[in-house]
Amino acid sequence: MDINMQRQNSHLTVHMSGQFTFNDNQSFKDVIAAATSDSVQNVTVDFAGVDFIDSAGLGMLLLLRDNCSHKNINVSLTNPKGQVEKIFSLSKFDQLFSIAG
Amino acid sequence: MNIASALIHKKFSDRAALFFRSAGKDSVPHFFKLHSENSLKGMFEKNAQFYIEHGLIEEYEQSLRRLTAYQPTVGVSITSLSAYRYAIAIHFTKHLAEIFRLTPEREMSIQTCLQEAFVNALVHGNLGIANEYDNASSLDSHYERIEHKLREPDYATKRIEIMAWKKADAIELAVFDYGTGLPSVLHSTQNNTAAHGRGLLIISSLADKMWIGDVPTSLYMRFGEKKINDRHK
Repeated sequence: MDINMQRQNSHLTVHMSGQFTFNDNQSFKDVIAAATSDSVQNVTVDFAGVDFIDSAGLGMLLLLRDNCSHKNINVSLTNPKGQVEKIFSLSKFDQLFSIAG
Repeated sequence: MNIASALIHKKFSDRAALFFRSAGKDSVPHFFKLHSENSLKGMFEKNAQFYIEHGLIEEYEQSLRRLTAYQPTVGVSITSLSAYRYAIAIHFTKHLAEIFRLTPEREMSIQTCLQEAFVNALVHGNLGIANEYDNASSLDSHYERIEHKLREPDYATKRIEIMAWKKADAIELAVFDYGTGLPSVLHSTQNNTAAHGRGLLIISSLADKMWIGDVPTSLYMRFGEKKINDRHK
């Protein structure tokens, strides 16, 4: 999985591409660290480039959400498609995240 | 390769060939070593029935016996260490998509379920590690426990087998591990916000049927048959 992060003022956008799976815990730690760094208020995780996610990936997103909620940082997910959109739906992620696109 | 390695390599191949001839089969499985993710990409083009990672003789022969007994259309045996490093389930599904001519939707379902069953077999089955993380720090600890166990040869060399059968309009898959049994395959969560435990939910939602096989450390999944409540439509 490739991760590209862009910070604009208090908004962090995380562009992910490839497959988001069990093997990606190390790289996703950097996302959690960046999201919970000083003065970030909103985080958007963009799934436009992601073609596969497993339950470990879902778990990492929930950890991101939990870590951010302790600091009142809002996390939203955008542009899930195909298998990712299906898995978000099965896991009722719309009840846990704002999902757009 | 030095002379000693060459002799060991030849010994492995000869024993495998003898095993298969004694089992009444003409085909010899494809043995492979995994050096990188790239080596997976062309591997399945060998069109073998069985793909078996090189390793300790006792363990790969155990896999050979199991694969021969179950006679899948295609099967893979890999070590836990390779299972952790490489996305085998994803590459195997791409191969199934070609040989079984899967629709994109069916391929997606199989790939998703196989990945869940595969990781389950590795982490809970062979390594005996439960999902107990609920924050980034404990997630780190979780992966450290996995990597710590994989440094021990007894765990690193434990096998995972994936088998696939084409049966009429259905595809049947099985994932076998060498763990301690039922608890490894029944991990589930009722808590929607828990960071773990969704694998079983995902499999049961996407597969038409899921069950534990005759071997306790096996999970079977079927795709393509009508579900029970569709039979009368």
